[in-house]
Parts: sequence; C-alpha cells; structure tokens
Amino acid sequence: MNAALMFDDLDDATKHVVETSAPPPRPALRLAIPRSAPTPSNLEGVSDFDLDDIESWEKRSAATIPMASRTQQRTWPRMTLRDTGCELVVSVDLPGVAIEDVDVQVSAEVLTIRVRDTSGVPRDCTIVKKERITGALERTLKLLTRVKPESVQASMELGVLTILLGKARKSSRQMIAVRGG
Amino acid sequence: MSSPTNHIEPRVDIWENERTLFILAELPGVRLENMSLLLRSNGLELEAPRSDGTNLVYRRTLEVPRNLDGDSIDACLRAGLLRIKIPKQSYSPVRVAVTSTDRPTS
Repeated sequence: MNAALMFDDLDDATKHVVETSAPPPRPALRLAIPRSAPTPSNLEGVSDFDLDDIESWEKRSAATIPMASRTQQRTWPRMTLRDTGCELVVSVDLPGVAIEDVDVQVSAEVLTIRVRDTSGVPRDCTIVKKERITGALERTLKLLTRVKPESVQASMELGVLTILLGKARKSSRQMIAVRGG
Repeated sequence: MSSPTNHIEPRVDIWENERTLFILAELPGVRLENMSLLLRSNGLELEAPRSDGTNLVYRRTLEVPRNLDGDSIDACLRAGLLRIKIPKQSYSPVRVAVTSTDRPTS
C-alpha cells in the first residue's frame, strides 16, 4: 500500500480502533462538545495550576474516587485548572484528538474525562521514536467546589479541551434572615 | 497577567518506511500563522508559541537522516498536531572503479 496514502488516511483508519477502557456511563450529564471555545466570564485574579497543583488539589479534596496511580498521572497529558471565582476552568492538551473521541461527564462534585484510543501506526512503518501519549485515557477529578452540571460547557480548539464548570451558589441557609417575634 | 516565557520541547513520534519519514509533533494551542519549521543542516528546527495565554513556546531541533528530499516536505497542522512527511531520496548503487598506484608485482 502507498505510504503517503496511509498517512493521509490515518484519521479515518484510527476511528475503527476499539475503545479499550469504557466503564458503563454514570447517571450524569454527558456533554456534546461544541467547536467554538466558550470564553471564561471572569479572568481577573486567575491563578494557574500545573499538573503538580492538580495532584495536590486532588489530595486536598480527599478524593475517594479511583485516583489514577502516580504512574498513570505521569502519562496523562498536560492539564491545568483555574478558579475564576464564579467558575472552574479545566484545560487538557489533547493534540490530534478529534471531538468525537472525547467524552466529558459532570455531576455536582465529580468531573470525568475519557479519551478513546487514537493511536495507530501504518503497517509498513517502523517506529523510530515514541514520545506521544496515545491510547485510551480516563481521569476522574473530585471537585472541591460544587458545580452546576447544567452550566457546564466544553469545547475543543487547537487540540486543547476546555471545560467551564459554573459553581453552584452557596447554601442559602446563611441567607435566611430571622425575624424577631 | 504576564509571566516569563517558558520553552519546552514538544513530544514527537517518528515513523519511517523505505520511502518516507513521518514526524508527528504535539503542538496544542498553536496557531498555524505563529509556527515556523526550518530544515537546516543539523536537523529540522521547530518553533511555535502557544496562543492560549499559557506563555509556553515549543522549540526543538530534530535530527533527521541526511538522505531526505528537503524540497518535498509536506507539513500539516491540525488540531494541535503537526504531521510532517519527508520523502527519502533514493540512491541506486554506483559501482566505483578502483585504481592503484602500487608498482606492478613482477
């Protein structure tokens, strides 16, 4: 087979790769991902976190969810979390991954990101160097803050997955005024 | 918010067959108009800043074999993944006539 042709057809070819780790979906919101990126509504006072911060953030959140082992975390793509005050912004680098191969699920306190296996080397090629993280990925984050699942927006642009999670309002308990009788 | 620029090496996969070298370089957040790719004598030089406010610039020089056809490089950036396809030049073996300055043996 013509090698050039195989390279061009790679995307189509890899679509047939069977999903290797697909646990049954939980009863949570499953997002359809739009192509255009939503704009974070408030970027003032934004602090950036790198992967290490996410790890400590997960520790602080006392996650009881099956956490990725440290080995798995090292093989998870670059990911950042920002807290803009009214929402959480999660960005994950997923270069070369198509929108259809990403699945985002959100419940009030848990965010799950799954990426289907998109690896694939043309049959007549030998591997000279292999650094990219390919294969099926899954990451579950327990969120420190409650979010409104219905407010969540996710988009893919330039190979970056961005998820905006609107925070749920604080408990109204504090806001009840007590009247004297 | 401005923080210093960080240069990082993009992750790459390289494959080859008899006729072609394939390079896949991960450049998430990079816009086509901002990236540069040069084939130099010491290799393929890549530089690309991210456009998403992360202050990251991808920079890497990849050593590539000498027998590549630099005029026919095909590179395409899609969804943050740069796919480079370089044909190898094919040489057919040439028989070399060997001479000698030794005195003929008597």
